Amino acid sequence: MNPATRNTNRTGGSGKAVTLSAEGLTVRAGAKPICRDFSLTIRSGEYWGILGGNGVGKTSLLHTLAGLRTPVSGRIMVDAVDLQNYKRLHLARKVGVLFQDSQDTFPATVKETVLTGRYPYQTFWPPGQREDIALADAALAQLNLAQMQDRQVDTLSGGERRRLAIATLLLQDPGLWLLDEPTNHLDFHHQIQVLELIRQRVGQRNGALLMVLHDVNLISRYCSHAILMPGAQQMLCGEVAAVINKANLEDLYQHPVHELSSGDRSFYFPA
Amino acid sequence: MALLNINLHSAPRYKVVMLFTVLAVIAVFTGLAALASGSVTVPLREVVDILVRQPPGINSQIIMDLRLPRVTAGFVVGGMLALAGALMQILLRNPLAEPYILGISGGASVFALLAISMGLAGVWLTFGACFGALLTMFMVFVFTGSGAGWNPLKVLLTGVVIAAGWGALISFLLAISPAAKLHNMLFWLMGDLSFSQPGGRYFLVLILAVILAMYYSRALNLLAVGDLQAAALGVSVNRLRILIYFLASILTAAAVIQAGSIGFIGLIIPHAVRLLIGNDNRLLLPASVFAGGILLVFADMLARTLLEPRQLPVGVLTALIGVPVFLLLLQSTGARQRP
Repeated sequence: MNPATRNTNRTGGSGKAVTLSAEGLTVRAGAKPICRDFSLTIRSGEYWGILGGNGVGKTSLLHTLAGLRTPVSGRIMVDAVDLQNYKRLHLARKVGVLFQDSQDTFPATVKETVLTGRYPYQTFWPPGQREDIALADAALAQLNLAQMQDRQVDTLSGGERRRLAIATLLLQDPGLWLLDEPTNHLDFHHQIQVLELIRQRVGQRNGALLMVLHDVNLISRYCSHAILMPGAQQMLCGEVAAVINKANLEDLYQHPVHELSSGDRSFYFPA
Repeated sequence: MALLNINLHSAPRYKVVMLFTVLAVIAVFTGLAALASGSVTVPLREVVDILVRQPPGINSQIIMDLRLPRVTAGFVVGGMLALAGALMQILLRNPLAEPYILGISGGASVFALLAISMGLAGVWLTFGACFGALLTMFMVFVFTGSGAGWNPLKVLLTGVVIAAGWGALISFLLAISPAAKLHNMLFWLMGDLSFSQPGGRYFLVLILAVILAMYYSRALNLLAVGDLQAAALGVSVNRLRILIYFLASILTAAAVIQAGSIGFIGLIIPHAVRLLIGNDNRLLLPASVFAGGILLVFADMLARTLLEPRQLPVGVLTALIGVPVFLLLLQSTGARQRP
């Protein structure tokens, strides 16, 4: 598929499948190796979770897969086209990223911020499309932010900001969702609400998802596959049922883990 | 939240049209008042008549040949400084940024003062200022280094250090210059429209710059959210930064060449407009151009008339008008906004 094809569908959600594949990927942060000769394929309908200790490079790996960081070697392909051959704007229609934090030197309002998600689809003129505004209203309502639409983002709480970032991603409507700790700052209710919403949207779009999460139990609840990053050693990838178990988690965190079983599910807690 | 609820998405769209209509009307009336006042006061009705029919006569000559070029130059310079300031603040991600922060006015000043100290004037002064401004622009760009590391903090530090170097040279030139030339030099440093040529050519520069800035205004909104976020939403961040750097620098250079380093407008006008209508660059940038132009035309009118026949440096007046207005705006937004 030619990435330069202009997407004329203003609502963006064309429901097309998306595939991400990395071959022989080597990533370094400064002198620190993050992964070496790593290969991975994420297909439509798959939900991947990344687990790993602090500072092993989960975020760097995510940014590399999003094309925001250049790997030392290796290739990353989105829908069989090399990331380097994409124009940023075209890539933004396929791949969306949720970052850990945001800046606000010159804070915008909640409504303005959520509308930035439409950037990849907008043209200079006419501005502020009615369809976009309707999408923004719907996304804000879904994330319980409708009453705050005229607030400055720097007056929001951590959890409200998180939900705003997710609402922005809903408007961007990518096929591949790369999420860096989507449940950060969120209370129990919103953690589940947000993950359900994301899973539903990814499903509707026949897309795929890769998220960094520190909560093993949320990963086993929402993901089909997992990547365990034990630092410098070999990474462990595979279906959740195959890679998430007591022994692997104890290896990963170098910390004893308790396992609790309820029905056919297992829950893990640090001892 | 901004003081006026004017935006492109939830308020009624007519408010945006009204905002710019009001700004244009204020600009026209300020311009007419500035044309009318001076050593000879011409009634407003006659001013309009002269502009429309250009009848022969002494008043007609005063207005068409002396005041009109100065008023248009004032509007253009004010607009350029305000736009350059708004762009620099976004580029450097720093609310304290202003057009002169990267040393462009310092470089221009050094070479303009050199020209004055050699007894040169007119086109040589312009040439010297132009050379100094462009030299600084390229020095900052080269020393910052291109490529992946074009980050705001490095640009800012490089520019500030180069500006400090120019500052030392300016002090040196002032210290060794004879008293007879000091007055001229100080006026140039404080900013003054009496040197400026008719604003026609520069008006074109301003219009082109506004069009370019407007074209990138949505991307600039994203840049304010963060580089990574902007890139993830489809902005080529490095390319945009370099483009905005050159655009803001050229605007600053063009303003300094015409009128010396008129302070305050580039720092305060964008913030004042932010307090009024918020941070959406699609509205902020053009509104700042109007507000900057209006403030400078008004300040220059006062500079010419307050202590007649003496002329004050217009930079003094922009600050004297701007400071209380800005503090008042800041007070009325209260704790709702951190500028």
